[in-house]
Amino acid sequence: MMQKKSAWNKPPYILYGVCALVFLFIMIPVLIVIIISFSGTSYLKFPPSSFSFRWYQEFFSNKKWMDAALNSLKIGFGTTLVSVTLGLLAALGLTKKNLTRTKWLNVLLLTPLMVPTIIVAVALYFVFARWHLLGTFTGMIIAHSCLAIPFVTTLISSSLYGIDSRLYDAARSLGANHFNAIRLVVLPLIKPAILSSMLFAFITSFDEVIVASFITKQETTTLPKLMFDYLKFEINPVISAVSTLLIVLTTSILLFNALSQKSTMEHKF
Amino acid sequence: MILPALALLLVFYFYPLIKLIPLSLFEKGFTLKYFIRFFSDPLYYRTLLSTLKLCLLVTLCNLAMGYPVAYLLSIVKPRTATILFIFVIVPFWMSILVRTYAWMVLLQRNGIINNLLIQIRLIDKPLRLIYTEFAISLGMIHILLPFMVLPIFSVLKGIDPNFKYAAMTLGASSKKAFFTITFPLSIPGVASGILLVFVQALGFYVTPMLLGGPQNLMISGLIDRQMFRFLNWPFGATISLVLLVITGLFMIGFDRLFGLETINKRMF
Repeated sequence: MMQKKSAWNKPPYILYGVCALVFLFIMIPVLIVIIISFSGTSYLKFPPSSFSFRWYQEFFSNKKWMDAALNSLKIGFGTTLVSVTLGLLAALGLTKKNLTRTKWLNVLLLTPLMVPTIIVAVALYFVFARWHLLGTFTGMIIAHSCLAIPFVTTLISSSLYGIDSRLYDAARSLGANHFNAIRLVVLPLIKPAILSSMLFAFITSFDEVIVASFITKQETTTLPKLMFDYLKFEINPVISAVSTLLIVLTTSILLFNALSQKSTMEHKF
Repeated sequence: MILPALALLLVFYFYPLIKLIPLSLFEKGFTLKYFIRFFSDPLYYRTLLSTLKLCLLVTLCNLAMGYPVAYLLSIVKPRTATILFIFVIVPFWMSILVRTYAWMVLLQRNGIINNLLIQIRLIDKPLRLIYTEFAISLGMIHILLPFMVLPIFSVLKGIDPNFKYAAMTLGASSKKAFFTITFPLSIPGVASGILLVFVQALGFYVTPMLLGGPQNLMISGLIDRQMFRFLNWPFGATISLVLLVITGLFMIGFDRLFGLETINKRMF
């Protein structure tokens, strides 16, 4: 069978060619940013003529950048906490009532993926102005949690759907109450899904720029917002360094997630 | 237990979106003046049309680039597929701002592409690359590609390869088997990819702003201008609402044809 498969499945060479070009298209811009972040000159030259860490030094010694990074971390952790707690509860409730496969719910969970963030940002700007949430950490954490909850819920409920419900029943019949059966039996089984949803909720918040640029003020400015504000006027080489740090952060989170899940192909994220 | 999450989304997500309706339609009583202004002033409706055109172009390019990649991923050995998958997934989660910045670095007037072309003496004056529709399209194609690859891959992976082998034992060439069996069966994935890419492209904000500059506004740029430059909030709300309705229409259309709930299954 294997032999037949490989002989019959032989794709035309042009497929390899096209795919190689697409992969180059995907990777080259990212690699170039990483390389020029170590450049010694502020002039955009590739390959760089000298090597230095000066843009990293500038990033770590500049209070404006550091404050923004700290704000992003605070908002990212807050968002992770709120969205995973609420998303986990929602997923447990949905699975118990066997609602995970209903259409309205799927559409509800999909909406935030489809509604352009710019519209959400405008809409939040209006109501937050009235509710005095503009420029507050609470406001940012709430807004980012709304963006993260749908996919946290999807991720956890699809993992819950995959476990044998008789395990919960067995725990109950052996005398555990609902809370203990969930805590001692169900939660350990879905731990990998909870971990990945935490990582992705954090990235969602940490990288988010549009809502942040509408509803933050000076003292709550996040890292992406500060980058965006700089880039509106000029290319600033410090941004190559910040970008590289963000690339490293995202990649290590994904790698960590993949290693802790082992079956990367099943959980595509 | 669903309540806390649902309440948060209702109050801080759906309520603000619904609130856009009274903001754009009421001003000391019912008024259509902002909608009339949007659809009668050529600046606004032309921007809408050019946005739709650009999004269509981005979607088609993504289809042309994404389908071969999804197909390759679906036929190679699982281990190779995992490695290739990294190239699709890592950029997917990488900040949009970082990827837009990468294109700014490449396309600048004194950027890397221009410098390189001058160094090898292909041109002697820098080309105008950034602040064009071309630059916006490149950036958007780069960012949205995973949204095309993932749903197509998930459908292709689910097609029983025996269908194709059956066609081939019956005498079809591998090319013919692909076009008469595999490709038609993958249409639902293609449709999901097209919807995801097109709808997200419509609302793109950061990339057009940084790579297109003020001359190449997309509809999101109009919203930004009304909100922050002219401080005309009701008109900003109106344009947002127009964009929301267009997005909604595409989603409803897709739902009628293929069923929206299939997308969640393919993306997650």
